[in-house]
Amino acid sequence: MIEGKIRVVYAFNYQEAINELRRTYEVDLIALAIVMPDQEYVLKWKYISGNLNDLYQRITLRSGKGIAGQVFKTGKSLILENVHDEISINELYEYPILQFEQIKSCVSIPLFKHHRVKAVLMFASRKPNGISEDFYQQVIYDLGDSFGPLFIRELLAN
Amino acid sequence: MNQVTHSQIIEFLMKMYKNSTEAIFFLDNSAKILSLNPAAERIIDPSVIESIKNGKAHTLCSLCRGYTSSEEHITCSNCYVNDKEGNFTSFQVYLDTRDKGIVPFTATYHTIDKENGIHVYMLRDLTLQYKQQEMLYRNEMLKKTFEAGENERKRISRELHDSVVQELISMLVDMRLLKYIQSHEEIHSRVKQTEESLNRLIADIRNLSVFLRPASLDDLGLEAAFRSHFKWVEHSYGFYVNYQSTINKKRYSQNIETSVYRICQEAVLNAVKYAQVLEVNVTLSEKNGKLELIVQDQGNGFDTERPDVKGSGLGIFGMKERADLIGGRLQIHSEIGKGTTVYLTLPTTQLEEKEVPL
Repeated sequence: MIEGKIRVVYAFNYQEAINELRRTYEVDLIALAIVMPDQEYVLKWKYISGNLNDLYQRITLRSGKGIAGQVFKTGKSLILENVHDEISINELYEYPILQFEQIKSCVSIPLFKHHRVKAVLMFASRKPNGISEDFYQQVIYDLGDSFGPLFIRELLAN
Repeated sequence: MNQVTHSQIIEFLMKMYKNSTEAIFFLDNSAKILSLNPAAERIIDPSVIESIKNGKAHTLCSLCRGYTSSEEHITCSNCYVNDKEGNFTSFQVYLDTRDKGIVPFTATYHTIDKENGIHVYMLRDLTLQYKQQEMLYRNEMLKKTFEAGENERKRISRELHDSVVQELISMLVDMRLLKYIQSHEEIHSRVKQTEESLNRLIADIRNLSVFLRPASLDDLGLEAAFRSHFKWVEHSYGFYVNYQSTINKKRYSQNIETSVYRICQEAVLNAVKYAQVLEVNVTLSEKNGKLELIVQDQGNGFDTERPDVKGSGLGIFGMKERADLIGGRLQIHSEIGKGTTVYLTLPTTQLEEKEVPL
């Protein structure tokens, strides 16, 4: 019983955390994709703040697919300062979150546990160049080593 | 330049009439053939020439099968012979020829003597030009097909290298490290992680294999393959496929199943890519010995006459080729703002005998 209570107290609230991040950085959208190990290792956008609709719930990404899948596979942040310049209109369908939420600019950061990507945190803007390399550096600096129980850099001790 | 005398011009004209490869007809106001040159004689039926030579009246209409207007491919409405206002300096006409059946020609028709109502009608054979155009188109498409095949191989090779090989190497490193770990607990946790990686790798390879060719298509048939493919489309692209089928678990010959599957896959992917909608209807049914596939969306649509090609331009070509190979017929109806319907119909009789390996 006591153990359960303690766990509740210490549980990290992702939803509140991303709401807070959105207020702090004044971006249009923040979303967190989580690896679902019980469903053949796919990623789903589980937490979102600033969304236009609930279409994101339809998306299930495999390794290498979509924004979250690519970040998951490479373990590297993905910065798209201007979506239109970097993804051809014919390939945009492979990134449903960008279409559904009309995202024009975004950065997606891998979050690790046990040296493995466990989640992908995306900051997005509906304006081209709304998110820049400088923004990314600032966020990484501000977040420090971790986001809740997850690590920002791969080789930090677990 | 030397001055050419009047009589020389007449001579030139006579030679041109006799030796030209262009068929020349002189017609009166009612399109009766007054005279025709040897080139014209070569293309029309000998019995017609015979009767003209015997002084029998013969109109052009007995040979002509219509021309191509801006409204229709082959038509007789606003015939060039009767239309005094229309511009008929160059148009396409279909003529019944001596041994090649109905053949397209480039024609010119104009009045050379208004008072006496004499008109000249000249034809140029287009068959060769058509053949060359067709060859050019085929070659172009073949080149694109090879390119597409090569790109696909490149993609698979990259996929194998990036996901499979990488994952295996990292597992190998993990395994080597295990030897130096003393703590039982640590070993346990590492083994669990490796297990997780292996599971993920299995999932990756399974996905790659299904993408290349769904095993369910061979084992369970169209119905099952469609259902799992549409589920995949839904997950990956957030795009709903409303699938309705009345074929149940019926099986068809392998090439029919493969072709129908690929055509449908392409049509659905086109809707995902270009229609700008969130769902598509797919219907598969069998009626009166015909298998029928309909893929319909309510999206953007396009101008079927002048499509604004966004991709490789191979998609629709490939779909038609596949349909042809299985004796099917593929039609695409689309209008800007009114969505697109891809309609495939093919005979299912004589399926059993026509088992051709792919």
